[in-house]
Amino acid sequence: MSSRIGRTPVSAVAAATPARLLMTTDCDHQEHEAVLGPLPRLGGQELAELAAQAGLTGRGGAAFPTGRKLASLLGSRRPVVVGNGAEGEPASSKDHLLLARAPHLVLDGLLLAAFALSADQVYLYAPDELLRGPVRAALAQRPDSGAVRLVAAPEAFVSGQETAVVAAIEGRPARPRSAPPPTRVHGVGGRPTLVQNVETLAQLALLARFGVEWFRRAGTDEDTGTRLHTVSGAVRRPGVYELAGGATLESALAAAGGPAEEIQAVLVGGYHGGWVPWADSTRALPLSRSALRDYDAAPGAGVVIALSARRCGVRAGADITAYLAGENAGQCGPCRNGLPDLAALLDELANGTATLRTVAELERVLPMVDGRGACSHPSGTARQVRSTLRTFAADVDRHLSGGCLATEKGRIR
Amino acid sequence: MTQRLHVDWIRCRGRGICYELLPDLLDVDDWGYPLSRTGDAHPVVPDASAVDAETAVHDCPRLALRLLDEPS
Repeated sequence: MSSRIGRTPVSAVAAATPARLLMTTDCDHQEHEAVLGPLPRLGGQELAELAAQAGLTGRGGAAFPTGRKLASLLGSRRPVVVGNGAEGEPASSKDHLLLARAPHLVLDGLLLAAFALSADQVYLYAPDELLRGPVRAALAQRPDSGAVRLVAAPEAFVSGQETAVVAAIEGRPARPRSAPPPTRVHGVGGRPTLVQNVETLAQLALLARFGVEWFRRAGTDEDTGTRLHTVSGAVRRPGVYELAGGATLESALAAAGGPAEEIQAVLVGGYHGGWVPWADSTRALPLSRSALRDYDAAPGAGVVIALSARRCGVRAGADITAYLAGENAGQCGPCRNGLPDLAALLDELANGTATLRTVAELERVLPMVDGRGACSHPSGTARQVRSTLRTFAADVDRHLSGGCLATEKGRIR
Repeated sequence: MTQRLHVDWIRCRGRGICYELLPDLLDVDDWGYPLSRTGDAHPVVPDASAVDAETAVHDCPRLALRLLDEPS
């Protein structure tokens, strides 16, 4: 899987404007509070309304309105609050960055939510090396963090899915479970549970301090505030960048130093996301759900991958699909069987050994995968396959006649 | 009240009671698992199939089927 894009190193991180979440990187607790001020304590109703008025949405990928999620837990008896930093997406490094470099902001948000909901169990779920290092060090500096329990998230694509998070905290393998009922009704130990991505918690911690008006000063009405984007691939400075909501594709690449070479497409929203062809008509598209709908893409957890014109798009899609097939949790029949089938067919196509029947077969298998699992993994993988076929349609045709557009542009194969 | 069919994919092992009882609602996929004919992951159970749907829920050896009530 040589063309897979690996995890962006955290050392490559840089803040673009406006830097909000990264205002207190590498600060101890005292310095953190000196810069941002003390963490206010808000009631549940107050916090839910604040989040709703700010238009804050979940930054883990699903963009669920945070105010509504908080409101649904108001009055719950003994709820559980979980900060989710699992970040199973290999092309995303933002949660890693926050936990490694700004753990106090995440802990602020976690404790803020736990206090507001009168939770009696508070968890932070993240990769073990982050918990052992920066998170433990940060906890030791705080007078208010005694209740926070740490649970290690395994390195797996689906380990951050909400029901997998609950399973891991209950001491079982971090695999998704069947919904409904939703986690916010029936989560850890059967109790109402708030699972919130760590960036969302960090955003809450800023919102509680500086208010709605400040929060909305960045971004658009559709995408308020800022969000972290992990920009990688054919850009000059791959890394994590904080951009205002609704920033354009072009500005995301520009934050990362701009294209390092000619670009043919950009993958938005991660491996479960969609490709957007790179053209004069698309580069000014905002990274927003509505603007990207035509491409069946959404900003998701902020992943942006620029694909060089010299790389084969069909091969890139096939490699991602093979990776996703390998990451199925082995629980649901259609996903366990269908994803390897899709990956094998797309691999044939990328290899140049496919016929027209292969394409027809892909179209036939896709509906047998879509929507047919306990979590979104089969649907997300189907989306990736469809997007690859659609975006690189010209290259698919060329592959069927034994060629490859990328090769013809001088790529060594 | 509209009823929709929900398959618990973690429980389901493709034993096939459901698509035998509800052939108008469910097809079978390449691997033996029930496949909604409407394309909807939670297909609406028509009134004419309501009794068969209840039977399928009760008789599924994996207890993988449920009916979800939805205000119509």
